[in-house]
Formats: sequence, C-alpha cells, structure tokens
Amino acid sequence: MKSRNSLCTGTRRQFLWQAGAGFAGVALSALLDGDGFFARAAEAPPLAPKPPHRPVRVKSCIFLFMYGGPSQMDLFDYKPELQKRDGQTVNLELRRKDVKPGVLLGSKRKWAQHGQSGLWVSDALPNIAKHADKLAVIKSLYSDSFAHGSAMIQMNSGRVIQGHPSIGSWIDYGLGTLNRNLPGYVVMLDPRGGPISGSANWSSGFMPAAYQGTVLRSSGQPVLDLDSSSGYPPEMQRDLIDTANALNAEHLAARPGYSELQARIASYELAFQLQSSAPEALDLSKEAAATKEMYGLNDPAAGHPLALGPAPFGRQCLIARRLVERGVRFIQIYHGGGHQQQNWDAHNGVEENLTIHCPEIDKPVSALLADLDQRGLLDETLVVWGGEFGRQPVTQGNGGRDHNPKGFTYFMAGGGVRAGTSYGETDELGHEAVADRHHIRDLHATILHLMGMDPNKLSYFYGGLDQRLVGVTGADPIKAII
Amino acid sequence: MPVARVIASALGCLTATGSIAAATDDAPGIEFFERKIRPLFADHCFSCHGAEKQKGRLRLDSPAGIRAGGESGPCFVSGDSGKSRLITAVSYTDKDLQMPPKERLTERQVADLTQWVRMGAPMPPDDAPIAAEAKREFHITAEDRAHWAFQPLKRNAAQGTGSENPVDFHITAKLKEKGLALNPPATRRELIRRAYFDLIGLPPAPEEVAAFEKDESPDSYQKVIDHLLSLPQYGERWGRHWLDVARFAQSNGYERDGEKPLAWRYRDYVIKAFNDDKPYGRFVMEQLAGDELPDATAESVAATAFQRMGVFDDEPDDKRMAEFDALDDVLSTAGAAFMGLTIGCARCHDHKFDPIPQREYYSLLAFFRGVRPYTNEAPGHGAAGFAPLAPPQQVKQWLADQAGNPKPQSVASGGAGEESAAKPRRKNLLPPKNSPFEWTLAVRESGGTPPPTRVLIRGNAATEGAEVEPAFPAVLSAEKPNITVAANASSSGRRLALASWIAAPQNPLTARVMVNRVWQHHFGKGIVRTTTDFGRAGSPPTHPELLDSLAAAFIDGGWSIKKLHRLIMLSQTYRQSSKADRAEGFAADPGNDLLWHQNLRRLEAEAVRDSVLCVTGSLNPVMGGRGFFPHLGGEVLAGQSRPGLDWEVSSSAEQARRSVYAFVRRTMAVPFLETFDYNNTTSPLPERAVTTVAPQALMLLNDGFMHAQAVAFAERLLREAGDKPIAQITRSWQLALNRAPSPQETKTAADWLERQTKAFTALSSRLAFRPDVAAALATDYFPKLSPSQFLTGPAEGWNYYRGHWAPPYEGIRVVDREIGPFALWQGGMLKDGAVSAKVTLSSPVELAGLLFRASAQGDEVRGYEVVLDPRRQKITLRRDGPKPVELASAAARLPIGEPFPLTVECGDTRVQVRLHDTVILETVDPEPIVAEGRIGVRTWGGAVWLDSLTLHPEGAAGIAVPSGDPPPARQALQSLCLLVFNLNEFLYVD
Repeated sequence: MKSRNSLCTGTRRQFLWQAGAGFAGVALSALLDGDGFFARAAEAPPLAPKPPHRPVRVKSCIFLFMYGGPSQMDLFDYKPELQKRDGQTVNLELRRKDVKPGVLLGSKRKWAQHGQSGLWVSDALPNIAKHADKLAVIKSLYSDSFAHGSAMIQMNSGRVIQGHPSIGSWIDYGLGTLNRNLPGYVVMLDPRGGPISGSANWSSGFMPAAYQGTVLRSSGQPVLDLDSSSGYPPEMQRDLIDTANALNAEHLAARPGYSELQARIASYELAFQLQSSAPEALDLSKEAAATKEMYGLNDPAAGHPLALGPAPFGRQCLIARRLVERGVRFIQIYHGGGHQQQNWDAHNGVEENLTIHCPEIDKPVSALLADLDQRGLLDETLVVWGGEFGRQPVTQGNGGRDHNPKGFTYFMAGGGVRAGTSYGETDELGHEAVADRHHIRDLHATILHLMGMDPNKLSYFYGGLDQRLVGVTGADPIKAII
Repeated sequence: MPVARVIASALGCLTATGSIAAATDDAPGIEFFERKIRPLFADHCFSCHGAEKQKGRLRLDSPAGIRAGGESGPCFVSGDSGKSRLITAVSYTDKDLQMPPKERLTERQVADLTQWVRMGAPMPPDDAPIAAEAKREFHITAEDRAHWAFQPLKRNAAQGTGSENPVDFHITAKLKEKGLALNPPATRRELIRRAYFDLIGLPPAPEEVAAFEKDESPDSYQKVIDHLLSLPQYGERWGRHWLDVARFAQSNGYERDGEKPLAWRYRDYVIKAFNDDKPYGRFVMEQLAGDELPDATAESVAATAFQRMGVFDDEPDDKRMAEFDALDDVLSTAGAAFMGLTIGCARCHDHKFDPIPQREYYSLLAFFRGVRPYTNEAPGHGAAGFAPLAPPQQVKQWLADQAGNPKPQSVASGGAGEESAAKPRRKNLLPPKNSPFEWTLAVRESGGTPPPTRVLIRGNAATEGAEVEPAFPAVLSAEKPNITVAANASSSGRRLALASWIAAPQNPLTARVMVNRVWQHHFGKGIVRTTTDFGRAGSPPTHPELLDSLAAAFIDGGWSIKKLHRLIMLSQTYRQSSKADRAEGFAADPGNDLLWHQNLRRLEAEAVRDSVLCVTGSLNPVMGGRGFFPHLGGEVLAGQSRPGLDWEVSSSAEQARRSVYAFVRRTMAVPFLETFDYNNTTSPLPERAVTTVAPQALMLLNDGFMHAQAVAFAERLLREAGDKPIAQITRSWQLALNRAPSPQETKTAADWLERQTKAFTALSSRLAFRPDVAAALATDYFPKLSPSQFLTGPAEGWNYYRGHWAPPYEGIRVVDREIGPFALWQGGMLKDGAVSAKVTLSSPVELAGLLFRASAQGDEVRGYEVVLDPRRQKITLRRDGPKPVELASAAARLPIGEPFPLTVECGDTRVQVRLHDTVILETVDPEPIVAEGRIGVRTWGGAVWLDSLTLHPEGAAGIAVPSGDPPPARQALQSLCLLVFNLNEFLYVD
C-alpha cells in the first residue's frame, strides 16, 4: 500500500499508460460487458463497477446540501453560554484576519435533548429530532473560506480553487455505477435556482466529463434532451435509432478493430432506455399515499412569500430514495437556491431564515431517514447533511448572522456511521471549533471511507501528480463517528 | 481550548545525546527526517515552536532545538517512542498533553514521527544551519541530467536517403523491427476528408471531393493542403487547439463569474497568429513579453492576455494567497504550454519527479513578480489588467503629447510602455475619456523594480523564506538571465529574458513540445503521449529520433507551423488508410504505437457543431469579436443562482457562427459542446477526452439546435436536389458524408422516408406546446427573452405571453407556475359553443390548461381555463384574471403519454367539461365572463400535444386549428436529415 506521504512519487501512472496502450487489443465483448453506459470513454469503460478498497455494505450516498450555510447554533450546536450573554459585545474574527467587535445573538430557539442518545436539537427541526438516535452529529468542522464561491467549491471538491473534481465525481470514478440505465452521479436543484458557481459545483474538473454530475430535474425534462424537442412519439424515436444503427452497423463492418464505433451504437440503445428509465425513477404515482404524506408532498407553502413548504424538497428526497433503490451512487440535493433568504444565507435575519427553510426540510429529511430505515436501505445508504460553512454567534444587521467557516456542524446517518453520536465542540459561543477539530478534508475522507474507499489511495493522475480529493495533505476518516 | 499543561519531566536524565553521532552518519535516516519530519514540523509546529514563538521554551525549527527539548525536558527518547513526550503529545493519549492543540495530526503523520523516533531520531548535526525551510541539499544527479527531454536535439540522426520523408523514414524503421509495414494509402475521398477536418475542422464540399478524385496531377494533394492552409478557417481550427492549452475563457469563474472584458482579443490574436503563420518562437515571446519586446506591436500587447486567462476570485478568502495562486496559474500554464514541464509541482516542495527544487519554482516565479495583479477595474490607462491596443511607443508618445512634454525617451531605451515608475501617474496623463485607443486585456507592470520574490515555505504565502532572484532551472541551463531594464522603464524586462530563453533554438523543450502537439492533432496522440509533461512522470517518446528530427526541421524552417503541417501531411505515414484489420499488426502492436495504420478519430465538439452548420449551408463565416451566446434552454439556465444573469440573446445568424466564437463562460458550459468533451477552461488541457455516452446520442437526436439544422438541411436538399426522394437521399449523403449512398443505404433511407411520411400524416393535426424557460430568471435576462421563448409552439397563428411572475427579489423573478406562460390562437373567436381536442401530456407536465373566452391583459390572461393536474389526477375549472378563482374541480384519470379527448362547452354563464364524452364538470359562474374571446393553451413543466383542436361556435361549422407544420413529406425529409447527422460516419474521420 502506498503511504500518504509518497503521494507525489506515484507509480500509478505507469499502470495508466500500459493500460491505455493495451486497449485496442481488448476484446470487444469485454469492453461492452455490463459497463455503465451513461459515461463510457472510448478508451476504457470509466463507469464499470469497480471493487471498493475494502468490503462495505454501503452502496450509495445522499448528500443534502444546505446551500448558504445553516446556522449551527440555532439547530444542533446548543450554546447556553451564548444565550446567557446575548447582547454582550465580543471581538471575533468575522472575515479572514478581520477581528471586529460584534454583539452576541443568542438563539431564539427552544432546545431539548432527544432520544436515548440525548442529542441536542432545537425546536426548528422537530421531526428530524425524532431521529436523533440515527444521527452522528459533528460539531467541530472547519474549512478555509469565508466566501460562498470558494467555500462551495471547497466543500464539493476539497479545494478553494476551481477546476478539481467534485466528491461525486471521485465516488463515480472510484466505484463505477450499479445501474447502466441511470447516471451514477445525480444532482437535484432547488426550484428557486441553482447555487452560486452553478455547474462548477458538480464538475468533474480535470477528469473526463463522464464523471460529472448529471442534473436530474424534478421539474421539466429529467435529463437534458431526453425528449424530442419536436415531440416525436417514442415509436418514431425508436425507428430513428434502429434505422441509424442499421446504417451504423454497415459502417462498423467495414472497420473492424474500432470498438468505439460499437460503443457508440450501444450508446443509442442506452439513450433509448434512459428515455423510459429516467421518467420512471421520477414517477411518484406508484408511491403509497402515506409515503407521499410522510415526505410532505401534500403540505402547502407556509407563510413567507419566499417559502416553498416541504413539497419540493420532499419530492426530491423521495426521488433520492428511488434512485438509491435503482443503484445510483451519489445523489446531491441542493436545498436553497438563488441568494440571501432564498437559501440558508441568513444575513437578513436568522429567525426569518429558519422560518422559511426549516419547515421545507424537516419533514422530508425525517421521512427519508424513516423510509430508508423501514426498507432496510439505511445501512446501504449514507446520508450527509450540511452546508458550505456555518454562521457567526454575533448579530449582523437586523438579527442576521454572517458566514463562519471556523466551526460548523454536519450530520450523517446510515451507511455505517455510529448512530446517536455527538462529536466535537465549538467554543462556548459556537464561533470556532475547539475540541476534536476536523478540517472538511476529514469529512471527505469519512465519506470516502464509509463508501469503501481509502481516501489516501483514491487518486487520479493529472498535471504530473497523483491528485486526490483529500489533496496533498491527506486525511483520515473521523473514527469517532464510524 | 485544551492546553497542554506543563509537567516537569521525570525523564530529564535520559537525553538523546548518545545517539547523535550515529544518527548524523545515517544518510537514509536524515533523508527520512528531511522528507517527512521537518516538513511536518514546519507545517504544524513552527508557529508556536519556531523563530517567532517558543512556547514551553521549545524550538522545533532546527536539529539543535529538537535535541535540546523544552522546559519540560527532552522531547524524545531515542529509539523509544513510548517514552517520548513528542509521541505522547501527538498521539492525544494524555488529556493534558495534546499537540498540536487545535488540529490533530493524521495517523500517517503520527506513524512517521513514531518511526522516526524508533529509528533513533536521525537528524543533521547541530551545527547545520537553522532551517526555517527544508534545507535538504537538492542535488541534480547525472541521471536527472540524462533525462531525454533535457538533452539537446539530436540533429545528426539518420534521416533516410534522398527524397524520403523523414516521418516515413523513422516510422517504417520501427515498423520493420517488428516485421510490420505501413497500411496501403487511404482512398482519395478519405484523404481529402482527413485533410479538411485536420486543417480547418469542416468537411469538403462534394464538388471539391469530386475534383480531387479526378485530379491525377502529382501535386494535387499538396495543392489541397496549400489551399486549406490559406483559408481563415485554418486559424479558427488550430487556434482552438492552442486555446485549450491556454485555458481560454471569457469569465472569471467563482461566485459571480463576471465577464473578463476583452478576453476575446486574445482568442482573435491566436487565430490570426496561426493564419499568419507567425513564427512559433515569436508567438511564445509575444505571449510572455509582448509588451516588453523592443519591437512591440498592438498585436503583441494583446498576446500578453495569455497571462490573464486564469480564474479570478474577486472575493478571495486570503488576498495574499490569491495573488500567489494567480502567479502560480501563469507559471504552471506557461511551463505546461511552452516547455511541457509540470513546474507547479514544485510550489510547496521540491518536485518529486523532475529535478526542479522548490527554490527554482520561486526563481521562475520571480520572472512574473512585477506583473500587477488583475483586478475588476474597467479598461483604462490606470487599470492593471488592460492596455491600449497600440504599440507601447505610440501610447507613450501620445501620453507625453497630452502632458505637453517633449519627446519621450527614445525607442532605444529598451523596455517600452506608456507608464513608468520614474514618472508617477498624474491625473492629466490619464484622460481615458478622450483616449484615442482601443483596449485589450493585457499584463502591466508598475515599474522597473518588482517586489522581492521569496520562497514560500510549504507554498504558504504567510511563511516566507529566503529571497530569490530570477533564474532558469539549473538542469536546463547554466545561463544567467539577461535582464536589461531602462532607467524609467515601465516594466522589469524579466519576462522578456525568460521568453528569449524559452524561444531560443537551444532550448531543448520548446520545439519538441510544439511539434509533438501538432503531431497529436494529426494522429490523435502525441509522439510523447503526455503533451504537457515531458518530465520523468510523462511518457517517453515512442519515436525519439523522429521527434528530434521534426523539432530540428521546425526550427530550421523558421518555426513555421504551416511548413510542419506540410512535412507531416505529405508523409505516407499520414496518408495511409485507417483500416485496422491486419492480424499481424494487432499481434505486434495492438495499441498502434508504431502507426501501422492511421487512427480513426472522432470529431471534437466544435468540429461536430461546425460541420452540422456547414453541411446545412447555415454556417456564418464572420470572424472575431466578443462572440455569440448560444441559446440555452430553461432547463440549462435553471442551474444558475440567477438564471440568465449576464447571458445574452444572440440572433440566429450570430448563432450560426463557428463554435470557437461561442462565448466561454466558466460556470455555464454550453451543453452541446460540453457533452462532446469540451475543454475544462481552468487549466491547460493536454488532450480532449473522447467519451462515448448516452447524452451525446440524446443531444444529436433531440436537441433543438439539431432539429433547427435538420429543417435548414431539408431546405437545402429541396433547393439542390428537387423533390425526388432518391435525389434527396443521394445529395444528403454527398453533403454530409462526401460519397454516394450504396444501393442498400438508398433503400434503407427511402423506406425510412416512406415510414416517416406515414407517421407524420397521422400527426398532421398535432399542435405541440412546450415551456422552455427556467422557473426563476435574472431580472436583466427576463426582458431579453421574447414571450415565444418562454413557451414554444406553432410559429404562426399564435400569440405568446409570459404569464405571471413574482416581483424581483435579489435580482430574480420566479414564475407563478399555476398561471405561467401561455399562448392564444389568433385565428378565430368563440363565445357560445364548444372547444374539443385530443390532449396528450408528456411526463414532466405539472399543470396544463385549455383556455377559452380568453383575452390577454399584458402578460396575463382573463378568461376561463380547464386546468389539468396529472400529478394530483384532477381537473379544475378556473376563472382567470388578476385573482384566479376555482369554480369547480373533480378527480379524473389523466394518463401520461396517452391521448384523451377533452371537450369544453360554454353557453352564456354555464360551462361544461367532458372527458371521454363523460361530463366531468358542470357549473354556472356567478360572476361570468360573457364575452367573445380566444382559445388558448398553457403548460408548465413539460410539453402538451393537442390533436384535432377544433372550435365549434354555436350554430356554425367547426373550425379546425391548423398545426402550421409543413406537409408530411417535408417533415419526413427533415427527419432524414436528422438521421444522417446521427451516423457514425458523420462523427468519425477515417
């Protein structure tokens, strides 16, 4: 096994070149045998299922991305000292190396311990609180950027610099797909819009585009160009594919030895299958009424003009469960879109923000955990919840909170995590992680580890370097929550 | 915060001194210390136990300090990790002694430290210099120097005899060793297509193919090459290859991803440089130092925008780090692009493969140190990122004239430029308003003396090490940079010194790297597969002598890329068939490394799109400028946080331009190009991936662009081949594939036309409506879209409306999906009577509506609407107006994808809705709209299709609403066109 510190001394690349050089001799049948069609390089089948580094039960990951940065001290990170000192002025680092006085803002939420584990959850998330014993809450994460753009990119790709593969791409690359008829890495967006930096967040960076996230739309066509823009019925599309491939077969017959031509013929067949498999995955009509009710699909949008209620996110969570059942590896759902109060970016009032967004996720997330559990899928599915950073204990403007990458909370559930765990601490005000601090590299390492991969071994040779999600520093899984 | 309590050590007597002598002789042990332990201390311990602070009176930044220990005693017991405080501290086993206090080391790091203590804590002697940085002596070994790419070109290698092309000489020599030979030549048709796609990225016209097939003169092929090299499309094709390496984009990336103004001038510069066959050495010099050249021109100033192409974070978390990230981007890109070196690997530590110590990274960085960091300023005389598009001397003269000064320093003074450090900028020197110049993105320095460059320990801008001067990598050159700087120069002249060194014929890398890149685009892969890494981590050349021979010919030919094309393309190796059907070839060389056949290649994204436009006759040849904005459907825009922000709507003529002119926005890749493996736009791309994935098939089958092009292609076929199917088929094959169809193909295509004609006849009364807009739109984009781009449907006879959208919040408008975009038919009015249709809902439909007695009120509607809700399986009758009112609703079976008949009947205040001829709703409106109105359609989420939409005014004959589609035979021809674009033969070049 290669040690972490020899990361720049790779020998992997030799293997790569040999593999590349040997390709044309590989039998066609081997190339086309059961590999992922959604993305297949002509040179090798990139999404063919690959064995994990260690045997695990986990097959899929659902990453619930709370875009904007949810407020840890109003949801999971109970800070009685902060409540007590509400209104006092303290000096805190509010932007990088910018220490300023600020007025402490205690959480207005009511707090209680839940379940056997006694996890603290505020009354903003009453339904999720019921699943406290399923959660492993990490309260001591930190990252490197106070700004959304680079923080988002870092949470997704490990770097504050754009151009590196996102975590879903790494998982797709490392494990391949289990379902040839669906993409292995699916992204769903908030109806209010995408997150800032848009598709850079699910980019495959320097890896082939085959590994990038596919936006699966719960509104409109699920996949771009899935239907004919002219509205041809399916039988006409079938005829078009059959006729093209009849002609392609003649072309292929005159060019033996070029398996990419065969692969391309197959890609049309797979495209056709996708035209039914993608809508099928999104079709909730066969789901029980009680299930839809549980996810909040029947609940109206409440109160605030920007609030959507639980139905849209609930729909996406339910779709995520269906995708897990269909073997999709990595599903990332962005909750919150656009700007300011349209997402968790609570500069303009944290209470207002919680009022908008907590009801949107509370029932759906709780239903997802219950649903996965009752179907026996929770062990096979890692659920991750969190944003690009947390928020400050001091007030901004009129009861708002500013960005804070120095200490924030994530929770995980299922997938082999130690359920009912609270791990790590921020200081008494919730500003900075102080005990069991972990850089988000370790969060990434934990996700990869739980998915069966060695975060320090999973590498991709690019730019003269064995690149890794956890970077040159390397990282260890957070053992205490596994 | 847990604080390691100071505990007096009982182990004070057990010092490590006994092992020092042994340890200092321990070369592998010291190596271990330098490679693993010292960097670890530097990263995690120096801030408290280093030069600035010595917490617990412990210093870990020198062997002496480590050996001395702190106030609690020694930090290790040689050979016994269990008794070493250092190991206890980093293991976090003792609650009172945990180091580093804030961030636990990784297990691997703890293991390394433990191993190091067990080894006896080997370190250099105490009197070795105190290290703020790893002072491991970096030795360039003989083996390093012997690496093939660092050797001078071998010019004396055998070249073959007489007229033999050196390419063929070297290729056949290697083939012979394996008992192989070249393939037979490609056919004339294959050859001319190959040449066209390789040089201009477009297919030949059928007439050009025919002429070439007939022309038996010996130079017919050379004439084709010369012709292609003379076309402006050549620069568009080859310029694009270079733009991949240069990470070209027109936006900054990150959160706002704002436009980088005038970035397109660099794209236009590159295209022109290829068309002009600008000597490659000069091309290199201009991009690195176009402003510092003694004969600088407007063009060479624009070339320096190469250094401005990187991503730019306008809200960096750490400004100083961002400054060095930007410098790293330039240095790494220049290293990869010009020299095939992965210099960036040495930013934080010595290069692990190549003999480039970290110090040399910073010495190279020093060449760029004077460049002012890019900012978001608008172009102007004071802006760091922009310069007048004029020779610097002319600008200097103009500025001097403006100031009423006498003539400026003469040209001979060297580094030119309009501003100088000696003459501080005065307001009256900077009158951008009456400035006569156009502008370009460019680099600027602020004077002749750049700030000092220091090694950054572990690449961290906060930990500076020793100062370095500009220097070339020692393994490549012992030469000292010849930097001349004039007294009042506006720049340091450093980049010119670097550029001159890179572009010198003696540089072993420059020519090799470029000829390899040209080779790559003629054969699909380079002689060195890793085109941006010629170091030891790269792959060695398959044909080193050939590479050197080409590089030598390149230099000797005045760095002419066009000559290089001729040399390669005139070879038999290039001209051989791509058939890969010889068993002996597969057996001996399955990867075709030896080139026993030419490679079949798939067209790149741009060539696919451009070829479609070319074949349909739509291609707009206009060159240059800011570029056009490809149409992005609502589903694509929906991924942005402010959908459509800063995107534009370009005319259809603009959208028919070549893909190289498509606006390149970093967070909004054009799906058509991206799906076909477009470049990544953030770092130099060595080669495009070639993936074969289902979304490509979906794109070519279903995308609106393809359908519009199929319509244009059908029109062209009708113009050029008349209305006879066989002639149309033949012409379509000739235009798209440059050959006549075989009899079997003609039959397949004719049968297809016939089946399609029947299918379209069955659909001839069909109306299709489809929303094509994101649910949220940026307020600046909203008015740019015409209402018919919100909802697409029949082009004629219908008016389109945007529907109701919430007022802006944070620059975004969100649709009210209950009352979104709709269309009203302009062909007839109805008060009393009925409307009937067979309705088909596509699966994504959320809500669809049939409107009657309707009239538009601005973007909204007043009238009645039968609302179909397939998700809830419900039909509602609604009175639309400023506040829609539900009048009645009922559960109903609304299948997806299956047509169902729907009839609405209205008489005075009574409305009745029938589904499958069963009355499902019937009501009397207490506040009725009793007026003549239009009928209309609304849909949100997905497409709705209406067959036989008919108005039945009371007491009059029914009026069928026409589909507006062309006749079935024409639609069938359009789908034949679509079919041709989906053939492998269209996408792959033999």
